[in-house]
Amino acid sequence: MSRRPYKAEPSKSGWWLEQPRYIRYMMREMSAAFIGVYALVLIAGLFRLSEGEAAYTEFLDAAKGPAGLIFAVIAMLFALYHTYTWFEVTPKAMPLVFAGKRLPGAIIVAAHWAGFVVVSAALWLLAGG
Amino acid sequence: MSERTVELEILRYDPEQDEAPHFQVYTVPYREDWVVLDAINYVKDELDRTLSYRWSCHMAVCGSCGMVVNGEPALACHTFLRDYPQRIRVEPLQNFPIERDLVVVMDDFIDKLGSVKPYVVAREEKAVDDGENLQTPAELARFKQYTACINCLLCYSACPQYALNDEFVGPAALALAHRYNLDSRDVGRSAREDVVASNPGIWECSFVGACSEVCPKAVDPAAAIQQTKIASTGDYFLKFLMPWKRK
Amino acid sequence: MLNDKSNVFNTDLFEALELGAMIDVAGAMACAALQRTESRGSHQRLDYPDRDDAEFLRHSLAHYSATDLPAIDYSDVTITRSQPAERVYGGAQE
Repeated sequence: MSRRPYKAEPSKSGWWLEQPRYIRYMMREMSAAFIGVYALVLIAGLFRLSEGEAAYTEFLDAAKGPAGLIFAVIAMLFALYHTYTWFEVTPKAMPLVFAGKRLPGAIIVAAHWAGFVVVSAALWLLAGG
Repeated sequence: MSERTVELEILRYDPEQDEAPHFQVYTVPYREDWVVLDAINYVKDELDRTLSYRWSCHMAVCGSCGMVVNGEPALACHTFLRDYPQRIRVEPLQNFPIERDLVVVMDDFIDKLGSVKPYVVAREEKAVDDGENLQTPAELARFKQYTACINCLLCYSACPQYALNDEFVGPAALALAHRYNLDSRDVGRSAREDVVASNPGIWECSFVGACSEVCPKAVDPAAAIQQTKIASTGDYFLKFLMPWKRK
Repeated sequence: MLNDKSNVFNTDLFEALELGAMIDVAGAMACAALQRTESRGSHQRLDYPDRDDAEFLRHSLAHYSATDLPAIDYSDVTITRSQPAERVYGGAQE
């Protein structure tokens, strides 16, 4: 037999740059890195808090400085994007059937956003906002 | 004013003559109601009899004509020339070895499809005389969407995990396993779990969701896989907490 | 006369093979239909518009010949539950 199937080269590390759909996916996944770093920043803040007022004030000043603010904004944007994509796919992972009919995905997503707003508002108030 | 035309840039590969695939451009007439498959058939009938490709129903139910059209996995019979620019690139499905021109080697998928036990595993064997299995419309509705798969492989072409690792069982096979796991007549979830709930099974999936986006039959394999992950996680913990309970 | 000489997935070749088979089938259908001088179901003839159970309540069989047109023969029909009757719709059914 003269068959000689051609195998394409394995994916390059920039494979995700070739399609908008993959770029959006990588942004979603990359959000974890930023959220993770932000969590470390918060933990560092706790440590500084435990070291006394001077240390904590120093930490707050750094956090409010240009680098700190820019990072916080970027991290927040990534976190919001993660929230948005997570809520959008929740109806797929947990289809709900109510009175014999499949609950429309939009209702599940809306309910999640409502909960998000409530919890965010509560945390804001708790933090003295 | 000459008639409007479309340029098809088609990937060619003849293993007996070519070292590697290369593109060949054909000019075909533009027709308002033509799909890419019509244009490809025109090429074969009028311009180049040596072009090889799979097709059959021309109505998006058989799954034969899966290809990559301008970078996007699509059925050639389901992509209208009028929706595309004047130059259309047609390639075989990604992530499969290329047999010839637009024909890929599907053996890997066929093996995986068989490996998920795609049949009803009954609680006990029934003779024909014992009568039919009964199922309510609600029970049917639970899995009906996952029966719609036409095995066109667009999902495998779109899946970046399958591109990176061809051990991955893949969207269509896992969606089919989910179809049987949800079927009220079936008790085979534990029989399937070695293949389905394994590392190269559902756990290779990172929920990119490209598979569901390109699926022409709205099977939503991504949803099937995520639901299987939840069910499988439940199974795993139940094994320790309630070892006597088995589906 | 094939344009595609490849040994790998040669669709030109199998279309030629299928064409031969289709011509054989078409010949069998055409010969059987020409000999069936009646109308029955989807076999409708303007020159013989009525159904002729006496002559043609039988299966047509086509026997392959490499050189000639297929030879047409007949076999009996096994009738079990549904008896042949006039096909009428609507009010005419009363």
